[in-house]
Amino acid sequence: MHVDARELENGSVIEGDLCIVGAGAAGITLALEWRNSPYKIILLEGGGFSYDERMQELYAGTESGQRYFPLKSIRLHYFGGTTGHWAGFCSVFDEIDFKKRNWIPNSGWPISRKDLDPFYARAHGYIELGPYEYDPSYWLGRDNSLTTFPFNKQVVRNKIWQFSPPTRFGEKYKENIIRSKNIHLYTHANVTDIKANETVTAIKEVSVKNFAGKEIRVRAKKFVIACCAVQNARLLLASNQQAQKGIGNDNDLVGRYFMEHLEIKSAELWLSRPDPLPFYMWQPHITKARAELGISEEKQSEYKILNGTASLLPLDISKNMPAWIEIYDEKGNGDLSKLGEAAKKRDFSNKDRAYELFTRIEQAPNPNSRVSLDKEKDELGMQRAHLHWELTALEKKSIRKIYELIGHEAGRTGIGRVRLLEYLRDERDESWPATTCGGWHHMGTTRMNNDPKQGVTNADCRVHGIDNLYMAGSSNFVTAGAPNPTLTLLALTLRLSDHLKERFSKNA
Amino acid sequence: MKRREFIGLSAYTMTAIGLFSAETGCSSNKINKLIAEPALLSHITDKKNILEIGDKYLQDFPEEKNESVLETLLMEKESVPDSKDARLIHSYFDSKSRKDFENGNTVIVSGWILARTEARQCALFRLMEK
Repeated sequence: MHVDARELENGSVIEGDLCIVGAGAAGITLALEWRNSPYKIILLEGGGFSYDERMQELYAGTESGQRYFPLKSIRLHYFGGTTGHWAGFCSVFDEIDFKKRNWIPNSGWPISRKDLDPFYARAHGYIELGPYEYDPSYWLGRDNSLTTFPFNKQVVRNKIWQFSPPTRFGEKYKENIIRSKNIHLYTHANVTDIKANETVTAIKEVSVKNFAGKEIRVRAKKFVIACCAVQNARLLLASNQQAQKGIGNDNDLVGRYFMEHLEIKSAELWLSRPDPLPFYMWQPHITKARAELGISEEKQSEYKILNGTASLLPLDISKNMPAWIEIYDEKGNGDLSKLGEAAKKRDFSNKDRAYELFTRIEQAPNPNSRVSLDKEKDELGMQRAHLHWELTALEKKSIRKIYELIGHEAGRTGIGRVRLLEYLRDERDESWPATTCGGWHHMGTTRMNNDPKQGVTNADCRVHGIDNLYMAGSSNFVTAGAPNPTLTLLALTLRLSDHLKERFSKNA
Repeated sequence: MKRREFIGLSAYTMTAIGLFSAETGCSSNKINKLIAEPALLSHITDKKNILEIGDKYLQDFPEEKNESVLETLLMEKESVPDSKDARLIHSYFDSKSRKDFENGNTVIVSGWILARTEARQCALFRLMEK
């Protein structure tokens, strides 16, 4: 069922079994997993069913450090969340991403890739992906016309991405949610405070507000916060009436270790013989799977670098395309006409011979890269978020090494030559070009670790010290991996769901 | 159906796209021009870039800024085919370049990740092209 919280009586109290805060990919998936169960699920969404400027303004904040997108533009604040404009890129994290890597401080998840495998497979259904197959040989076997670079896989490997249509959760699952008898969706229900018991060891209720001036309280046996990494941290920090540093923040970890994927043009690949490289190309709404170039685990370990991949785009398309960060103004408004302008300048003289190599790479977990609270409050009286994005020297060193290794393989096999872009040519230069930006992937702000001095949540995504509070989504991530986070955050959410079901049935 | 093979230009199919212009004299007529032609690079980039690579290489390695020195380094102790057959010469240097990549004997010049051999070829070309 659905209720517009603006129509509730002021001061209402709603009660249920499980309260999910946030109806984006994680929140909706979690709710759907409980459909037709004997439990009353309360799903709170701050926005309505479509984009609203005033609502979106609640996500505005401030930024410092490495140049970043305006916070208002990075997440969508309505039912369905940021699936409203995601591109659908999906891949699995590698085994190495979960391991402790001694060259990356603060790496090492409390779970392994194997722990997530069954949930990855289940997550596929929610975002309409193909079979749970990420071995390149599977996809090559389906089409004999595809070729791969003859690189040594012990050095440079092919990593597979699959593509969701992309699934817009707000459209696809709206009716499922509304028609479900045990899921109670409240829109225009912004959670602005989390209230705990006297000892701050359990959550009693969350406070909800909206632009109609209504204030509502929601009580449940268990709570899951699923608002995205920035807002997850913001809500915990802003809930500071009983815990001065914020709920779950006794060890000053909430908001820290904010991670993005560095996404940046890095090099060019010039082929000795032209080839359209279909196995490495992506056509929106057409391509089911494609490969990106990654570095083997052995070589990552040998050279002590981060995990990242290089995707290929014909240089005639990419040459004049602005970086995404150039498209957005300070208010978070995007000017997509800049892409159209670039398309008009296409130069086909090197068609099928020259490719841009575009990096997507994890950022090393850095406690100084963080979400904190700004002094300014939003229209509902909640302190805004401040993001300080900070990179380390390891990111640039890693990108350089990735392309050296690809360049060596290209040369060794006679495929062609790699040319680094200017900002990577001087080993001593640790600066970043102005076009450096992320992929709108926000992770790590309530990282998992079974030790409360090193993590906000434990291996079950439960906030340390608080029996009935959980975090959903990529805020739990310990490291960022090479791939876009959606598939992994959904897998983690499904795992959380199974854990909660077990807890509920034990309590029953 | 047999999968199409992805192969680059092999030494047996490639020849350099004529770098030395007829109008331009060479500073040394004794050096076989063919050894100063980086065949693969000539297919993927233009003469201007090759000259620039040569210039940059010589700035980075000034001790090699001499035609005879470069010729000696390129020939090493092995005998380059004494031939005017471009394919033979290019095959030799292609093989040498691939070994450079295998052995990590590479340089980064103007962003290009190159075999030391072909970088030297660009340098020699630069010196010979006047």
